[in-house]
Amino acid sequence: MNVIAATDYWANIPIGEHLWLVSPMIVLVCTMLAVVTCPILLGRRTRTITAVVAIGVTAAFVMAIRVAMQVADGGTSGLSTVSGSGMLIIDNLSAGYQLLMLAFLGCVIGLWWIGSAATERDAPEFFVLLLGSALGMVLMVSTSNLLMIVMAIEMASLPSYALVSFNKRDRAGAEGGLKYMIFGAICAAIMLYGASLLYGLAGSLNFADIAKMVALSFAGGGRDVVLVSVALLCFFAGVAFKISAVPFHFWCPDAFQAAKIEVTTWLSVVSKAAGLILLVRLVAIFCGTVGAAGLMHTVEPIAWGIAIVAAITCTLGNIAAYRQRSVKRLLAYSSIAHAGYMLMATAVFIHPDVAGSEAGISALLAYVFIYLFMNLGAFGVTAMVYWATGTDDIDAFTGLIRRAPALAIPMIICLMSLVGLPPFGGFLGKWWIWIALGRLDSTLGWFLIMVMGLNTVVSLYYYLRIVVRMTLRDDGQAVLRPSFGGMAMVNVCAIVLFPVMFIFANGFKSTADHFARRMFVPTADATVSAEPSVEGDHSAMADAWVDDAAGHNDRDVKRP
Amino acid sequence: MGTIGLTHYLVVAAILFCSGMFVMATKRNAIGILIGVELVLNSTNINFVAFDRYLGPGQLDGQIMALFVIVLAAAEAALAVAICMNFYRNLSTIDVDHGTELRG
Amino acid sequence: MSVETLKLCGILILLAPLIGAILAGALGRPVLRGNTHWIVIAGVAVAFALSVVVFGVVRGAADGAHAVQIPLYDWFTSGSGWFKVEFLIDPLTSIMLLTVTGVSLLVIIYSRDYMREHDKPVRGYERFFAFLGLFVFSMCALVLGGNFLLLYLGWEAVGLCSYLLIGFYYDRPSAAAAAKKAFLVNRVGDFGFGLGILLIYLTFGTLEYQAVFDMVQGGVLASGEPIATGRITTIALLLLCGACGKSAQLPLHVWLPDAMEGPSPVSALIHAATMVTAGVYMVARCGAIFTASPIAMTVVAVIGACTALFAATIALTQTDLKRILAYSTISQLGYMFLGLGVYAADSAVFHLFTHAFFKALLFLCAGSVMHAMGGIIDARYFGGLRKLLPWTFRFFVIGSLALAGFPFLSGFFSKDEIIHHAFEAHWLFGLVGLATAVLTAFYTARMVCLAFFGPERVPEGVHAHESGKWMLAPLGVLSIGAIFAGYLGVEMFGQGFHNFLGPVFHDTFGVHYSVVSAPGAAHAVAAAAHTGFLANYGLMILSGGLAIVAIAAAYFMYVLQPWIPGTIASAVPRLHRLFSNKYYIDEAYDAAVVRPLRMTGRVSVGLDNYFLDGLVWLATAIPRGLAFVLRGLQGGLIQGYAVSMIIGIIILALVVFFAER
Repeated sequence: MNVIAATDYWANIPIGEHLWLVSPMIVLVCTMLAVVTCPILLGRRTRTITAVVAIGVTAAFVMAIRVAMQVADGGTSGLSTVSGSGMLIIDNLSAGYQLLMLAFLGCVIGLWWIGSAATERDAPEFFVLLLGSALGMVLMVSTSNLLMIVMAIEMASLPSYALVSFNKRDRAGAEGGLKYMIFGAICAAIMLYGASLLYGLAGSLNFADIAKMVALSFAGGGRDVVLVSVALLCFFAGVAFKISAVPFHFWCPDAFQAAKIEVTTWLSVVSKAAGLILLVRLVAIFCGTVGAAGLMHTVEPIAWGIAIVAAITCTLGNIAAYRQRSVKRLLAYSSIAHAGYMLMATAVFIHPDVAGSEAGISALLAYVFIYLFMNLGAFGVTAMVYWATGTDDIDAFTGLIRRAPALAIPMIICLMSLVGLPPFGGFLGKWWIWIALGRLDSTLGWFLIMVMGLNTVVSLYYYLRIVVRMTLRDDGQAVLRPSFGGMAMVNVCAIVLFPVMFIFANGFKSTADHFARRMFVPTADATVSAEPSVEGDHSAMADAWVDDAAGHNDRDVKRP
Repeated sequence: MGTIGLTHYLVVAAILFCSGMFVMATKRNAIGILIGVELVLNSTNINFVAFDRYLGPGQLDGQIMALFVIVLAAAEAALAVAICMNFYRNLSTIDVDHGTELRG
Repeated sequence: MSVETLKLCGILILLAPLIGAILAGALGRPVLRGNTHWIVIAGVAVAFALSVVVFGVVRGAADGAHAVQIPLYDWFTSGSGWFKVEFLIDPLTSIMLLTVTGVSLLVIIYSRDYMREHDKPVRGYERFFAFLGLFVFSMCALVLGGNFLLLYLGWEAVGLCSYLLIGFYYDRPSAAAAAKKAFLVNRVGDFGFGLGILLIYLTFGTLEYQAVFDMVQGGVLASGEPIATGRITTIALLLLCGACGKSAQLPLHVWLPDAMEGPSPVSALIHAATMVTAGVYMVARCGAIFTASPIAMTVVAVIGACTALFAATIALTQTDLKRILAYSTISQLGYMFLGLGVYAADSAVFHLFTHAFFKALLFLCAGSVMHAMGGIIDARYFGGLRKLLPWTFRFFVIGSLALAGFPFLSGFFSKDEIIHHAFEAHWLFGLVGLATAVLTAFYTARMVCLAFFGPERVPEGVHAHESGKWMLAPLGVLSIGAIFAGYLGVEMFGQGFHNFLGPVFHDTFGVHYSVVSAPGAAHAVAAAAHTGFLANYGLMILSGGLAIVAIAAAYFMYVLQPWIPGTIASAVPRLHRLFSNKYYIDEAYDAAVVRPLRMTGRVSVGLDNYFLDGLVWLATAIPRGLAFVLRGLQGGLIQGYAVSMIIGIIILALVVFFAER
C-alpha cells in the first residue's frame, strides 16, 4: 500500500524484466531528450528532428509489441498490480492501448509532416510537447493510483495546452489555447480537491480501496454518502474533462477549432481514448471490488448518475453539431456525442448484474477501438481538404467525390460509421453497446437505448449534410491533389471500418470480450488479498474520524 | 476551545477551495484566474497533509501527494504564463473576455 | 478428403483475386498503369491453379464423402444464433470454380489488348482490371459459400460488379442507362431472393445449406414439426425469382441485351459464362428445396422452356452481333432451367460448363470484330470479314458450330441431353427444346453469314486488322474447349462429368430418375444406354440432322440467295416486327411499370418537397432550436464556461444529494 516500502528498499527498484515492461515509455522519454539535445548537436533542421522522432517512435512501437506479447497470455503482469499500490500496471489493456497509441502517434506525425512540416520552424519544441503528452497518456492508462492518475492526466494535458496555441502568430490558437489551459487548470484543481477528499475518506490512494469505501458508504455502513458522492464527482471532473463529458466539455469545440488540424486529430482521437481507457480501468476496478464484496446493488445511483451525464452529453453534442459550418468544430461536437455513447457503456457495468458488466466493458473497448479509426479517418480527410483549400468550412467539401474520390469515399465510410449505419464499423460499436444495454433489461438500460436511438437519428442529419455536399452537390471547385501518404492513411482507416471489421465482426468482438474478462481477474484477486489491510485501515480510519468528531484527537502526540 | 483537529484543517481548506472557485468564476484577468487555481491547489495540499497527519500515521502517501501537487502547480503556472503571454502578444490584453472569437 | 487442403485452397482462391483487385485499385493509377493487368492475371491464375487442386482433391475423395462443410470462423452473432463464414465444397462447387476461374483467366488475358487503343491503355484501364478481380472474388465467394447468407452476399456482390462493369464507359449515356437497368431489374429479382432467404431463416432457424437441406429432405423441422409443402413451394418460388433476375429468365430478362453496352470481355465473362449462370447454380445447389415441391419444378421447367424459345425467336431478327449473342445466352440459360425443371440437373450443369466455353469464345470473337471495326458491332454496317479477320473467323465458326449443336462439338452433346430429358418429362417440353435447337442453329448460322460471308464491307474510315496474340491466344484455348468439352459427358467416354457430379444430385434430382426410369440408374442417359440404339441415338441423330439442315438453310438464305429473308419478312410483317421489337416487352414494361412509377415519383417529389420537407423541417426544428440555445451557451467566454461548469457540478451534486435522501 505504501508508496515507498519501508523495509526492503531495493526490492522495489525495477530491474531486468520489469524494465522491459516500461521500455516503450523509457524509449519515449529518451526520444524526448534526444529531440531536446538534437538542436544543439545536429542543428534545428526539421528533417533531422523528424527523423530522430520517427526512429524513436518506431523503436517505442517495437518495444510496445514486445511488451504486448509478453503480457498477452498473463493478462496482468507488471511492476505493481492493483492489489499493490496500483502505481503502474502493465496489462493487456495498457499494452494494447500503448500499441494503438504509438501507431496513431505515427499517423499524427505523418499528418504533420504532410501539412505543417514545410512551414514549421519549431519542430523540436512541437515534438517534445507531442511526445510528452503521449507519455502522459500511456501513464494514464496504466495506473489505478490517484497520485499517478493526477500526474498522468496533467502530464498529458499540459503539453496539449501548449500544442493548441503552438503557432505564436495565430489569434485563434492563442485564444483556444488559453481557454483550454484555464479550463483544464480549473478541472485539474477540482479533481485534485476531490482526490484529497477521497484520500481522506478511504485512507489510501489506491482506487481499489476507494471503491470499497464508496460501496460501503452507499450500503449505509460507512462514510457520509453525500460527502463521498461529492468527492467522487469532483475527482471525476478530471476524467470527464479529458473525455469532454457535459458539463466539462466547453473547452472541446474551441480548442479543437483553434488547434492545428493534426493536433486536433491527436486530441480528439488518442487523448480522448486515453481518458476513456482510464475510465474503463477505474470503473472495472470499482465493479470488481464492489462486486466481490457483494455490494453491487448499492451503487445503482452511481450508474444512474453516469447514465444521465451520458445521455445529456451525447444529446448536447449531437444537437450542438447542427448548423456548424466548420467541419473541425462539427467533428469536435461529434466527438463529444461519442464520448456520451461510450459513457453509456460505462453505466452498464456499474450494475448488480456482473455478466452485464462484462458485456459493457467489452462493448466499450470495442467502441473505443472503432472510434479511433473513424475519427482518425474523418479528421485525416478534413486535414487534406484543409491543406488543399485553406479552409475547413463545409463548402470546401462540395463535390469532393469528383475532386478527390480517394478522399471522399473514405470520408463517407467514416461519417456513416460515426452515424452508426450498418454495415460500417461504427454500427457494430453501437450495436454491441445496444446489446449490453438491452441485456440489463432494466429501466436504466431502456432509457439509454432510447436516448441512443434518438441521438442516432438526430446525428444522421448533420453527418449526412457533409455526405450530400460531397456527392450530390458540385460547384466546380478545383480537383484536389492530396499526398499519397495521407490518402493511404485515411483509406486504411476506411478499410478497417468497412470491409475488415464487417468481415471479422465476431473475431473482433471476442477479442474485446477476452480483454473484458481479463480485466476482472486481477481486480477480484486484489479484493481478496487486500481485504485485511483495507479492513485494517478502515477501522483505524473510522476511529480517527470518530475521534476527530469528538474533538479530542491527539494522534500527533502519539505518533512516533 | 478544544484542540485544533482534522475538522479545522478541512474547514480552512474548504474555505480556500470556495474562494478559489469564486476567483476563477469572477476574475476576468487570466492571471487572476490562475491565482484562483493556485488557491484551490493549495486547499488540496492542506487536505492531503492534514489527512495524512491525522488519518494515516505511518504512511506518507498524503505528504508525497502534496509535494507532487506543488510541483504540478509550478509546472502549470509556468505553462500558463507562457500561454498568457502568447495571448497578450496576439490580442494585446490578458482579459479573457476579449477572447470570444471561437464560439457557437 | 483433406479438409485442411480444401480450406487453405478455398481461402486462397478468394484472397488471390481480391488482393489482385485491391492492388490494382490502389496502385494501378499511381504506379502500375499499363501493367495493371499483370497483377490481376496473377491473382486469377493462382485462383485457377488452386481450383484445379480443389478439383483434384474432390475427385479423389472416397465414395459417400463427396461434400465437406468447412467452417472458417464465426462471423456475427444475432439474437438466436451464429452466422458462420463457411465453405461447402463438393463436385458442383469444384466444377463451378474451374469454370469461373478458367474463363476469367482467359478473359482477363484477352482484355489486356482489348482495353487498349493504338497500344495505349484506355481511360480507366486500372479500374477495369480491379473490377474484374473483384468480380472473380465475388463469384468464387458465391460458389464457395456454405450458407445462404454468403450466397446472398456473393449474389449481391456479383450484381454490383456487373453494374460497375456495364457502366464502365460511364460517359456514354446508353451505358449508364443499361447499368441502371441491369441494377434495377436485378433488384426486383433480388427482393424475392432476399425474402426467400429470410423465409428460410424463419422456417428453419438456420441458413446453413446442409442443415436446411437435411430438414427439407427429412420433412421435419429441428423442433420435430412437419414442414408444410406450401411453405417449401413459397421458398422455392421466391428463390426462383432471384434466379430469374440474375439468369435473365422471363420475365426479368430485359436487362441482359442492354448489358452488352459494357466492354466485350465483360459480356463474355459476366453476361455469358459466369454470373448469369449463378441462377442455375443456385437452383442446382438448392435441389433439395426445389425437388421437394413439384409445383416449383414445373414452374422452373416452364420458365426455362418459354425463355429458350422466346429468346431464340428474337435472336432471329437482330443484326447487332452482341445482341444476337445476348439473346442466344438467354435462350441457352432457358435450356439450363428446362434441364433443371425436368430433374436433369447434371445435364443442366453440363450445359452450363460447355456453354461457358463456346459463348465466351463467341463474345470474345465479337469483341475482336468490334475492335477491328472501330467499335461498330452491328452487322448491317459490315460483312464478309472472313478474309480480313481470318483467325477471328475460324474461332467464331467453331464457337458458332458448338452453339448451333453441330454434331460432335460440345454444344451438341450437352443440349441433346437436356432435350432428351425434356422428352422424358413431357413431350411438349421436348418439342420446345427441339424447336429451339433448330432456331438456334439457324440464327447462329445467320449471324456468321451476315458478318463473315458475302461481299466484303467495312465501315467508312475503319482500318480493319486482325487482333494481336494477346487476344487470339485465349480464343484458341476457348475454341479447344468449345470443341472438346462435350466429350467429358459422353457415355462412350465414360461419362466422367456425370459420374463426378452424380453424388451431388443423387438424393435430390436423382431420386426422380431412380423412380421414373430404369431402376438402379441415377442418370437417364446411362439408363437410356440399355434401351437400344435408336431410342438412345435417335434423338441425337434427329437433332444433329436438324441443326445441319438449319445451318444449310441459313447459308442458302443469307449467302446464296440474299433476297429471301427480306421477302419472308415482308410476307409476315407483323411477326417480323414482333420479333425484331423483342415482343414489345421493353415497351410494355415502360408503359406498365416505368411510367406509372415515374408518375408516382413525380407525385412523391411534390409531396416530398412541400409536405415531407416541411415535416422534416418541423422535426429538425426542435434540435435546431436547441442548437441555437446551446450555441448561446458556448458563447466563447471562458468565464461563462467556468460558471456553467460549476453550476453543472452543483446540479449534479444536488441530484446525488436528493437521490440519496
